[in-house]
Amino acid sequence: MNPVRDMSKEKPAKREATVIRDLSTVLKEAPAGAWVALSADETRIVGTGSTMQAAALQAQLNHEYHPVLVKMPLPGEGLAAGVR
Amino acid sequence: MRFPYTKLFLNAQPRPYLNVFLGKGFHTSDVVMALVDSGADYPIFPMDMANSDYLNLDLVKAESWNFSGTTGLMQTAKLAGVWMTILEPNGTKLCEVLTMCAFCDTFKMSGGVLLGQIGFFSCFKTSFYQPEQHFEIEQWPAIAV
Repeated sequence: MNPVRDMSKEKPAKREATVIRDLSTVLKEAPAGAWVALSADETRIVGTGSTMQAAALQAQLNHEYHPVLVKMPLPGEGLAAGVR
Repeated sequence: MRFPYTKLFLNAQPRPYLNVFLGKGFHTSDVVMALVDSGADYPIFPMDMANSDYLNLDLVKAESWNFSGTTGLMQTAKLAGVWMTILEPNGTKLCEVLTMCAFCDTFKMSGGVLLGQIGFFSCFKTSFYQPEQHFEIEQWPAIAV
């Protein structure tokens, strides 16, 4: 017989809150499915394109020489990214 | 080193992304946001990253790797050894590892860049704290042979 575990007296696990990196405001105007170049401080969009090079080139034209590139997912699209 | 999850869309699930860039010889890529994905075998980058604007890799004789994602569609990538630099949340360099990455010109995954088992998880002990929306990576100690 399995002993019944009385969880009512157990302390809840200590959860340490983490502030997520929320880019949703910065990226809200970013085209879905596009490559987006963010400024190095990730506060503004400095380029977009269908390829990473196109986005990076636009960033350079906007005088951002160290962009952070990200591929935007499609809105409402979840990821199930197992790849083998 | 601890990293917060990243939210790209208002209604999107926060996900474990890292900022990384690649290097080979004197050539380096731009910084890209890469999804930490334990389901991927290798780190996968767009072929654009391998071309002359970035790493200038000669992949003619590189090993081919056939892979399929959740769509089941078979795709082919080229494997190459490159340096991968991981950036801290504040943008400074955390570390650099020599690793094997796949480059594919037909890769359509929404995340853009994936960090997989051989080449990322093989280099870093990775712990996910999903309820707290962060993850931690720690470089594995060198294995003595």
